[in-house]
Amino acid sequence: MKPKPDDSLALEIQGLRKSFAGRVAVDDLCLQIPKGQLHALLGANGAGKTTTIRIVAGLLKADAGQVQVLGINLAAHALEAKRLMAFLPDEPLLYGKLKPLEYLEFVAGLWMVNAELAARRAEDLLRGLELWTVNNQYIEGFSRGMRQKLALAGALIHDPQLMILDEPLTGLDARAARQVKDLLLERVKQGCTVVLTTHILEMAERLAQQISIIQKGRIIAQGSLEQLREQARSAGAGATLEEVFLELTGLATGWPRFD
Amino acid sequence: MRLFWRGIGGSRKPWLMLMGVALMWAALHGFAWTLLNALGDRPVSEPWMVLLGLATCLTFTMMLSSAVNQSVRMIFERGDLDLLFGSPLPPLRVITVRALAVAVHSVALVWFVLAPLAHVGVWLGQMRWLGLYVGLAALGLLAAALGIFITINLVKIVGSRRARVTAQIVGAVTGALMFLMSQISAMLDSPPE
Repeated sequence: MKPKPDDSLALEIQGLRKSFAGRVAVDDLCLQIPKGQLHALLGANGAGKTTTIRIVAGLLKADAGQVQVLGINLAAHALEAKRLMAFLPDEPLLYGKLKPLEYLEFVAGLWMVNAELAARRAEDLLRGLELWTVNNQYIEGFSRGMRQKLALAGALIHDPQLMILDEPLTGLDARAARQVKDLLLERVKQGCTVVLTTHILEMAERLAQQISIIQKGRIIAQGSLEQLREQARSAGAGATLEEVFLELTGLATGWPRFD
Repeated sequence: MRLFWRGIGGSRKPWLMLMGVALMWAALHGFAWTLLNALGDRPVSEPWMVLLGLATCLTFTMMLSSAVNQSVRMIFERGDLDLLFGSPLPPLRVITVRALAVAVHSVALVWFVLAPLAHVGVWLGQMRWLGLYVGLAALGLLAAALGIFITINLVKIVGSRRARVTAQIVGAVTGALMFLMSQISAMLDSPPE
């Protein structure tokens, strides 16, 4: 008998596989993320993080395996699943010749959000992210940080239940990074599930309730920071996430001594 | 449409741009009037038929070059497919709209130049000139289909930037060939010495 999908999970991945021209990017990956959690997905470059999240976002087709998004089978009901989630790539495209409100209205239209509701949400998001004052300027003149914040607003306009963010803090200054972090934590408190990839381990350490480490297309460790510390015993009791990560992935570097 | 309008500088003095386009189109209608009145209803001679056939082939090549250029831009360089395919829009609808946009782009300039012939022809009672619309639509769709097919395969081999350069070179060479053809037509018309 086929097991019923677990309703308490925002994301369930079983046996995911994906190869590109013979190179295995994701290799029998299994992951379960409960609802209402901020989950960090860590891994070295080329570990398979981006491939995994792009499959979950419905942008890539897996070679094998199953993905359930909020209890919905992604392969069978992709459009239904996409209605409930948002994906933010590491370098999001923003139309340079649009203004912020126009961009948000366009994205809201893609998710079939009622126009009046979209306008209200757009204003709230732009004010919250300190972009309302530049609402009459074209996006092409925005800094990297402003674009990232606007892209995040676009991901939030349809009030998703699951957010998949690829390196959301890259290029942000301290103030903008703080605004984004606060916004994400607020959303998690309201019941949204956030899955993010990041190379900034301090950020993952401070924000994430659960962390998964990917290496060579597989999850090699998963849990809270305390649980990961237990798995990486040699890293030490008060080890930072960076030390735990390097220990578990075997990527600890030793600089040569110059005598 | 908003992006296209702003991309061509339409938000700055749009009335000036529209007036210029309208004047140009009026001039093309005037040229079509002169040409169709001179041609009248007499049948087209064989050398002219060959020349028209060659012109059609070269026009299609220019449309194909434009289609490849637009396909590279819309599929690989514009970068918004992640947003569109990540949304609950049916993917087939996204692809169809993009393909139609490529077709419209590839036929737009040719239509702008040739449509006056159809309009004036109808005015003069020569209904066969309406076939231009049907012919251009068919060629535009064919150019878009071939253009997208060529683009996907060309980008796999040489990358997106070189694919665009290749399309631009083909367009430039075709334009030069059309100029040479116009000189041949002048030679055909001049009396033998």
